[in-house]
Amino acid sequence: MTEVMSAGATRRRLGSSTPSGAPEADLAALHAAALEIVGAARVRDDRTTARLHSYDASMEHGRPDLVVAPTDRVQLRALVAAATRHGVPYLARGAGTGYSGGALPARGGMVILTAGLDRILEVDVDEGRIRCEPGVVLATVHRLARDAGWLYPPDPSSHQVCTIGGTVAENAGGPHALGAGPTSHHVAAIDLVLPDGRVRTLHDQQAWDGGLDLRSVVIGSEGTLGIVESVTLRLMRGPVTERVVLASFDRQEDALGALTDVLAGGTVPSALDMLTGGFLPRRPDFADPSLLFVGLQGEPEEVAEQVRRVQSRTRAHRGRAEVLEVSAFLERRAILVREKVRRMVAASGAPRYYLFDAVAPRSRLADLMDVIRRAATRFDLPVLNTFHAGDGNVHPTPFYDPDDPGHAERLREFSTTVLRECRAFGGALSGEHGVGSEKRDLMPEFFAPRTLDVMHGVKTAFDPTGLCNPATTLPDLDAPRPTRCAAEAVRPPPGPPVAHVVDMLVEVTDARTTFADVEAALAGSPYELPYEPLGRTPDARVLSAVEDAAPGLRTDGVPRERDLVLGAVLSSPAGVTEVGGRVAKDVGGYELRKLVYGGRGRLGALDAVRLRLTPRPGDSRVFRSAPLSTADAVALCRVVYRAHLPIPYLGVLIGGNGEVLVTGRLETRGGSLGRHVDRLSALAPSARWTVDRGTDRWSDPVMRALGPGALAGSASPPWGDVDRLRLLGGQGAPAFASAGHRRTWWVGPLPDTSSSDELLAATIAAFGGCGT
Amino acid sequence: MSWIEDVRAELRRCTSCGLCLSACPTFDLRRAEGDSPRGRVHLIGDALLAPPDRTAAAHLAGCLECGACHDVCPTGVRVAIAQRAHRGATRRHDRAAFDRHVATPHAELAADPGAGLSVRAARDLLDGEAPPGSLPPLVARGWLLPVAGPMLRRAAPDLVARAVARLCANGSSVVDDPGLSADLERASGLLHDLGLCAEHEAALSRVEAAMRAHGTLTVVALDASVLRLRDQPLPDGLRVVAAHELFLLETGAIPDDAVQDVSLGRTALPELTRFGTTPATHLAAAAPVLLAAPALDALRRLVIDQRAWLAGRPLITTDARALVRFPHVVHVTALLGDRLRTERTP
Repeated sequence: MTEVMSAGATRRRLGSSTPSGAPEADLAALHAAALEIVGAARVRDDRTTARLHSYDASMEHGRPDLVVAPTDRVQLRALVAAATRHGVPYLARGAGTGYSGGALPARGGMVILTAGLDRILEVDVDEGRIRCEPGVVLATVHRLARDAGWLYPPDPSSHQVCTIGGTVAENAGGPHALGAGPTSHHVAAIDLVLPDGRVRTLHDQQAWDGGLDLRSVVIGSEGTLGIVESVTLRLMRGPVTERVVLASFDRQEDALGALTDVLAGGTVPSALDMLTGGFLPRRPDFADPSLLFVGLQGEPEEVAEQVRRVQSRTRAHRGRAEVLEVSAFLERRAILVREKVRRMVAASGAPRYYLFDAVAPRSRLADLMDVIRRAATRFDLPVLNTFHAGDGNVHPTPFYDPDDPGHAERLREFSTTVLRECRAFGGALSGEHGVGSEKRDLMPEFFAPRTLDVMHGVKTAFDPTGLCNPATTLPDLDAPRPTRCAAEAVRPPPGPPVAHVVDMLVEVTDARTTFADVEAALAGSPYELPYEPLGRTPDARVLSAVEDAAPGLRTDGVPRERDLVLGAVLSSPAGVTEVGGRVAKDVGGYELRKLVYGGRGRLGALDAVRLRLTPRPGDSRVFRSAPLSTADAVALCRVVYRAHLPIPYLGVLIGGNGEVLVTGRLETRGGSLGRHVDRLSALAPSARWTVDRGTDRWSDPVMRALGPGALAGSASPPWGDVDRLRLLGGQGAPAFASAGHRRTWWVGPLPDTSSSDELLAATIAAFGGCGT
Repeated sequence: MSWIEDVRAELRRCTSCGLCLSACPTFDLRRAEGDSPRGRVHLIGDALLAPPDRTAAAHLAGCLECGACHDVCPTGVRVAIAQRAHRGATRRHDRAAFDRHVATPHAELAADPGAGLSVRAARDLLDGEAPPGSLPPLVARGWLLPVAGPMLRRAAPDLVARAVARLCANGSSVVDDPGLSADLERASGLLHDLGLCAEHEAALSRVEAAMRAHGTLTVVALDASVLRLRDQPLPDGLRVVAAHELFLLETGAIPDDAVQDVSLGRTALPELTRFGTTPATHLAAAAPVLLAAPALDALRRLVIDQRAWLAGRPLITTDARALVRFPHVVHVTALLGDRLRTERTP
């Protein structure tokens, strides 16, 4: 909204009813306040502007009363405070490329455009961090990260135009969410504007400081818990090598077979997408190949080995494989998708498509594909499916004629049928598009009343007025309970851990289950649980570690501890609450599952947890330097960290005897680490590295040094915490300054932060747990 | 189909996915939904039901009709085609109205030499000799008809003359049919862009009549503006090919630091892609003459950005307007050799 609107052109619609139902006087007062805050040129209430902000990529609609375009964060805070003061609903909108109606004003009110909040606030090339405003385009972040040798993985199809704020609101994924996780894995901190205009910083270290990871709940909350005014992104090391295997199959079943074999064999590509052949219910003769797009990133040896495995599995299932450079693949994919869509249009005579998302566990993908075809036949809809197969995240795409008067109803019935089957398979309501207004009515079918109550409680904790993007995500509290309703969760009977290899998860239902028990359950499997709590032993209990927010040893190359939590069951006097489920990509409702990491009994007793597995490394070696001065160790740690070696963890270790050294591991999932050991040695020959083979991480120097007991810490990378390290060394206190955690750990009690934090207390109260 | 049906045929394919936004130069400039292809699709749809208000009219008038959004659209919505069809349905000027219309955005036209060139070229088409009532005698029964377009003839008449002479010297069956050439230029879209729909449609009819005599013919488009003939309902047997795709180029004299706005085949020049690394695109090549102030303003700003990006480097172009917009420009017509890339038959 850069064009200036003259006062005469401002047509006020006062005197008529408002879409929000807000009293007209309140709306008028907010309008006047907005004019004061951002100026007349950036406030619109005309019919056309309202129309242009009443849709997104879904079929939903919601018409705003006011559209306001702030240019800085001070204006943003003032607008939110004014909306609250005048009792008018508000929400933020980025590029409007969402697929759920999540950024549409279901109840009118004020739409705040974030396009003018597009500043890059900080780029930390050393540590791989970018802090930016919400209106920054995702492609800009990709470019900045790449230019500095880093990678920001989330890559939804709209990445060229969607905004960081939008990706945070929807916890956006994309093809590379398979290997690297969705947006929530890559956001270190958020500055959230609360209803009164104050800003609250939520960061990923708070679970370790005695709080809860409230950041994780905001991500994916579809802008219903507040408006994000800045985001700090964690970047990953950029891959050394990247290839894509493009595999083509005559039959969809063969493509699914190859996919399942690849995963069951312990290869988890960085991306594994599928483009099914078109399915026309009335045209059994319509032959169309199915395609797999297998993205492989890593060290050259890893990628080469994975390429061979994928080629082999493709041939075994009667497919044809090509290996492509990424740039060539992207061109091919764009053409293939476009041609497939246009061919469907030509063959079906239906000019438009509707795209929605659903998730099933990978092991049920073939069943889900059958469901989609049966539903397509039942509703007589030609259907394509271009989706993230590795994550079980399907995008059924029925084609329809918008001039057909019954099309909306038919499409809704089709999508509801598919989604209900996903629920039966143990899937999720949405993998990456969100719930918004589109799937809101289905929330009670996917979540038990108790879980929905907790979500409502969280909403109230953040937004007591209920004005922040209302009627989105959560069904109304006073809505009549639908006939189909998820049953309340029950406490699972305790039993030994159960591993599900294709679904890449392990279920722990007994408080006595140890990490050794889990490893025993995974014996002979190509997967492992990538979680060794710092200072603990294999005899440590899994549920306790999760509840205590015990930091994991490994910080890079595998998901972080909290990101391993797929689902959990909590019990308290208020009842049994299930959070999350059994799939990695799950943005149905608020992401409560990560709160159990560091719940410390406050949300209820943790009865069960499902944790994600990752492929075992083929070669793993622990290394440590000779004793060094603190300053030299910190300097060496920084040099090694910046060398972009395949290091799952790295840090400066201070032993109980005051000895200081640099220690970490090298790991690869293909080929030998010999080359990397040589690189490490060449980096600092004077470090006199000791390098040992073996995957027994529990015996690594840092695990032995820290010992059992609670860990206290301070947030800073090793090179920012030299004085503290010297102090700890002088005290003879074992400590580990972890580069990946950006934190120094030592044995000690946690600070008590809960009593003074109203938001934290209100969130805990939402669970009806044991309180603070 | 009627103009309205043409519009509807485009709009009904739009799913509102928004993938077009990143391809659109005016969205890139303003980051406003109304200045995006998707926004304009919605506004055109509304305009079929009721006349647009001032805000909607301004957004619609800001479209450069460059077609940059067409390729990225999964379902193939062509916003530029929808815009033109909508204009055909809603705006029909005569010559007097055209003259009044040109006078309105005088400042914007003056600010962009390329836009000024377009308007002069349009006047040339209108002021040229009346098309003959009957077909002229054919000088040679060939299969290639070079058409320069009024902008290139205006900006570089000598270049056109030399190129045509060179193509004729090749002996590759070049047709000399001035009447058909003139009608093809009139039918290429320029007059329609200006609301002179009757003149445009009359030219199309004459082209159709002329083609009955020719049977088959290949139009050799010397300038990008002539390539817009491909968007027109041309008679069977008439195809349109860019000259640089048909004839070999003499690229030996091109400086190493030159950039190009079109892929010239075997030359190893860096390509000035639409949204690859450039701050602004050379999109104006495909865009029509637009007399609306918002579009002219957007074009002017894009040209400024592009001039800064070029930083004095030579530009190899297929767009005659670049000759008056930037320094150190070589039109690809100057590089045409006299040998066909591959031997073709009619």
